[in-house]
Amino acid sequence: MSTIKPTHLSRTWLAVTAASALALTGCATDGGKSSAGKQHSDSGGTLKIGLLTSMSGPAGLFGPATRNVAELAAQEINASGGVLGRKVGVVIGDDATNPDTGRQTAARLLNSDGVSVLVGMHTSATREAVLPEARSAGTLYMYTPVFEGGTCDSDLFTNGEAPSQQLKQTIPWTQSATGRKKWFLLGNDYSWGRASLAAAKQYITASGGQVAGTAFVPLGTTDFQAVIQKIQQANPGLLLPALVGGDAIAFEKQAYDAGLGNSQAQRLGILYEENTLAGMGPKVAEGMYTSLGYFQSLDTPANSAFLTAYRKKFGAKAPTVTSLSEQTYVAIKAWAQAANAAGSTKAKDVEAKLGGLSVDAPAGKVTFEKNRTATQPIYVGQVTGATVKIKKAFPDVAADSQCTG
Amino acid sequence: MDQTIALTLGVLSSAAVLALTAVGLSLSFGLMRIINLAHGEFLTIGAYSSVVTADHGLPWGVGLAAAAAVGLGAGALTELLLIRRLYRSPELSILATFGLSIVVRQLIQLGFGKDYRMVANPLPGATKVLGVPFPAYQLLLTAFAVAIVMAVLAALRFTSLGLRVRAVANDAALSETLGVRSARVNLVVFAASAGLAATAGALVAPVTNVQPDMGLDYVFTTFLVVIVAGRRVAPLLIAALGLAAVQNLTTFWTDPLLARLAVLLLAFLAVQVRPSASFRVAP
Amino acid sequence: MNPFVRQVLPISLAAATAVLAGSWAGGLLAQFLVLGTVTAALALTWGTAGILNLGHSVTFGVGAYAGAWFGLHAGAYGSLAGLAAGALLGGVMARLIAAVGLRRRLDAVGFALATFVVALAAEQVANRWTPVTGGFNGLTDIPRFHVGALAFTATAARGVTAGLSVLVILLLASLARRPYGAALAAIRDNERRMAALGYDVGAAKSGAFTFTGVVAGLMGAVYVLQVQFVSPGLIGLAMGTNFVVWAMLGSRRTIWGPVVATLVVNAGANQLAGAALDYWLLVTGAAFIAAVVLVPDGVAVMVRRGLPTRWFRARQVVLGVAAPSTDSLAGGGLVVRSVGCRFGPFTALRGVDLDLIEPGVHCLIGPNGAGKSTLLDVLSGFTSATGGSWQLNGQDVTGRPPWELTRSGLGRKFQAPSVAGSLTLAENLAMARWGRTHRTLALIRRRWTAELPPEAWFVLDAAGFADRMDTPAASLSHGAQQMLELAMTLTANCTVLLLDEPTAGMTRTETQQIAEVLRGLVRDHGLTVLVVEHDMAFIRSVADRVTVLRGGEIMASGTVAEIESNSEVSAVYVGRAAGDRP
Repeated sequence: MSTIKPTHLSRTWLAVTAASALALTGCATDGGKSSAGKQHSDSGGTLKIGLLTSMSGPAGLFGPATRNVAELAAQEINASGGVLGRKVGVVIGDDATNPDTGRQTAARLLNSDGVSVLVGMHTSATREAVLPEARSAGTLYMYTPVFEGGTCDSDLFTNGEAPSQQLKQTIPWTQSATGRKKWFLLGNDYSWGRASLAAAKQYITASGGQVAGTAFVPLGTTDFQAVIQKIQQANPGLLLPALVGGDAIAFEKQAYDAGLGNSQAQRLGILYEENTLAGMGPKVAEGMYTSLGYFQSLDTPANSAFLTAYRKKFGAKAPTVTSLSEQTYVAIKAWAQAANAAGSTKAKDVEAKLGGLSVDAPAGKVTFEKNRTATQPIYVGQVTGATVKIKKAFPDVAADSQCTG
Repeated sequence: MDQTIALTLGVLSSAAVLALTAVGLSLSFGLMRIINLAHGEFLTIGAYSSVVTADHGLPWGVGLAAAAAVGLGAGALTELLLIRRLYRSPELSILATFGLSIVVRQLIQLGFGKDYRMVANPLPGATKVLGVPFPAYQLLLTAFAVAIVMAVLAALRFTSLGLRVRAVANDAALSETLGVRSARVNLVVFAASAGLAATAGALVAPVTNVQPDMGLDYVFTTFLVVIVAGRRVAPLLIAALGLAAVQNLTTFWTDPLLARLAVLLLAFLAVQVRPSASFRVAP
Repeated sequence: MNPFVRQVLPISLAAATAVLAGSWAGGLLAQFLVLGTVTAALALTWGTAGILNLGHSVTFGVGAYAGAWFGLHAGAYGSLAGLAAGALLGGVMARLIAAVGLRRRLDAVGFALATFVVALAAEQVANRWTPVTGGFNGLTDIPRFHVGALAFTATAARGVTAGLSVLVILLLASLARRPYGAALAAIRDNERRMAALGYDVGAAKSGAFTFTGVVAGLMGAVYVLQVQFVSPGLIGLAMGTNFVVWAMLGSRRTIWGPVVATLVVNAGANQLAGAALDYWLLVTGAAFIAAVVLVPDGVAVMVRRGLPTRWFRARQVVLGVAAPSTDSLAGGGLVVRSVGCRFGPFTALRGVDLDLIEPGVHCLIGPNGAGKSTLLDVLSGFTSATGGSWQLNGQDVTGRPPWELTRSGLGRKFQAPSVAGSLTLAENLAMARWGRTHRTLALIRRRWTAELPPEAWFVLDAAGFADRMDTPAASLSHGAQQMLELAMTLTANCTVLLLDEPTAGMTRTETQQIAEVLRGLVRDHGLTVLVVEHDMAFIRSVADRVTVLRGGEIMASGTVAEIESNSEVSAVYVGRAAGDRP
């Protein structure tokens, strides 16, 4: 038996504990000073934009492109004179797709780095965890990805597509484009999947369609055999998958093989962005509809300028820009405009100018509303030979919001 | 009738994937008592091997062979450099393989990026079985699963290497005195375990998403299979069938979330009900 | 330095820093301190009691959700209600896991896998049970610590969480160095022996497990007060693995090591993630691998090895003399009636009758596989009988567990000596004595003192151990270890003693010494002794009666002379009965 007697270890630990405690204190004093110095002084130095995104974990796929567009946005802002006459720089934090890590990282960005705005591209669970931190730091928090909607918080601006935007007009359009009305709804079991399918059900019923079945699968599902059989039994003509990334790919590959491909049940994806579609492969994805606020293939001057700048800065093989990253770019550009208009980076001042601000985004005209959502164009794309062809554009689609603004 | 056939086939092919991904783990965990949290990453290594060969225009079979070879090599290297130090305390393997799984994921990410990768399905679409359309590739997977598990069982039972493996698994010290080099046997078993995982990775790559973290989606279910099967390879197919049946039928008749809980309940009961066959302390 | 100051100072310093360092760094430090406390609780179950728990996060997470729910719904006294509910639910959860896992005698890995499954399931439930848990997004904006109308500032609330952590860490450290911790460690190292010494090992293990569940649940509620947020990640397997990894890094057999490891890993990862965004995970993973290779026993143990031994004062154990047992006056000895034992198709014992009523030495002989050791295992409760009954001092004790039999006066010594080598003779003896005299509370409350009965002192004196009480037991010769173990068995005030080959591996002199000791125990202390033996010379020198067992049945019984003249027995023992063992 080798019992260590803990009593006698404490002297050893005296040094170690004290050292680690002091190390943190060191960070604290350092962080406190820099935060006070950088956030509130009016002269000199770089203004920091905090970007909280997922560089690792299941959502890590979307991190690199988001980081790139944030840096591109900062570069462009600086080229046109910066914010309040000062240069801006991006500080990136990784939430590791984990809300607790996200909260810690956000706290570091807010307190130690003293960022002037917190831009978030991560899961909604991380958003809920981070929000109190942003609020207590008095820093504006802009949440950018596709999300479940329905939030209302005075310190939070969301510009990602909400289900009401992605589905309200696209569901009736899909029904008339295909002549089919019988839907099956399949979602990942978490807030976004559930809220999206709840909204879908409402719009389907309202437009005379019929929901033949609904199923939720846990995140990280790899085997869809039984779910596919369940859908086949319901025999829908239309399928609305609210699946995320890897789950979407596994499902679509297996469904295609099982004879439940897009030719059997027309898809209307709401997070089928370019990465996910590429992961399915062109044969599986061919013909699918996908409803989002941005696609790379948008043929507008603003978008081609954006993509040219992106490829010039990061190379032709840079991570694919999707709706998720483009929205982050838009949020940062909008924040810079609003801050310049307000002459301040204080949350209250920027918020006042952000409400009602329109920007000419790569996706088209995006208006940040006083109800803290963004009115934006929604596109229905169809996968045709490995690219997304825009089939239908709905300009100025407003999101339902709890906030009256 | 058709539905019964379709459901049965579905259970069979789901069980096949479970057995395929778990057979390597049942070697390292069942025989060597190593709790290999990096098992999923060997799967990922295999999937990426098949991605690389596919990118070079090589046929699917070459990808499978490449995955097996890369898996064997990576497994052997891991055993020599790391696992070898852990036999005295299997609990240490938790920390070591936890670290290893992080390192492997990050290295793959640095080498290949985070994007989803695509491996074309060599047998796309459905074929008719007893008049019921069923994915052709899933049938192939089922055949592979049965063949691989049978081959592993046969190797353990009928070859002299298998005899030595079982001897070391029973009592390493005793088999040393009988002239079995347990270090070499452990090397072979762990390399085989990684090779089997990588092969499974290449086999599932056409029907799943291939990205650096894909192993995480598999590692927990493979542990469930091994928990239900106990410390032996033989019950693996039965355990996989049981889990797949519970999962698929609960999904089909109720919903996928209840299915997930039902599977966990089954695993828990398996540990409880017949611990004597698997984990019980000898009296 | 005063030991109290030495223990309290470092961790209080960390807590004070947490309070004073401002809301961000102080908040993080307080948060990590809470996590460190939870890891320390894991170290007590795993490192000390040997129960690997991959689902430590389940009790922690249940406590966190309870704390969050009460904080949000219970109004003015929500914080206090949350803390109470966290501790209670953590304990209930741990009790349930222990009831299904530990009671079924799963080994460490089997139990770990059961907890693995529980952790996976808990995360599913937390994700799904949205009305209570908030589902995937969790619960947020949980009020910080408050009592009634008494509002705490952020700093004061941080003081509460950090202070509670310090208290719990000190409690855990104190438990680990009390007799309670030593007994858990001894159970971890040799469960059978501790059962034979009178410890209810099943209850001790599930008790320790439940207690750490209470601690983890309480600290879960404290964690929520600090971070004001809870999500399914806290209850799942990833968190459970984290606790295990942190405990292992810091040395799981210590309490302070895991606390410091948790602080350092978390603070390090937080800083590293900022400094090296693309490589921090790679570095973390590589650091874990390096730790396994370079410091497999954990950092705390490595650090301690590097320090001068004079820094570590030896434990003072005080041994006294207990009053002679009164149990033997009850008398009656051991009466065995038609005991049988089958293992599947194999019959190990059939219809065995034995009467050990008078004080004396009763030898049990027989060829290998005759069932001698099985009989001792059945009588002392380690193997279940499939038939028959036996009485101890007039009381029916058939089928009782080992520890109850020991406490009723039946001593059992195993063939191979299994003293705890790293403990001193005095510590071994005290531990043995507590098996008979102490329950959990006494182990927690009492100091390192024990009063040994006269028969134990008799053996210690005969072996000449008086001046070697403070040396580690590992330094004794094989024969001396057998003597120590005999003395340890006798600390339980036993009236009937079962010995399995006490002379195996002993020198001639040592064998004679054992014989004298046994005679002395019978003569002066009125013991009834049943000895399994092969050595006929030894048997001749001690035995009052001899029973021959063959094929699980009694073949003959009588005095040494009667047995030696029994032709049937001689036929069985060709070559053995004729000559002594060399």
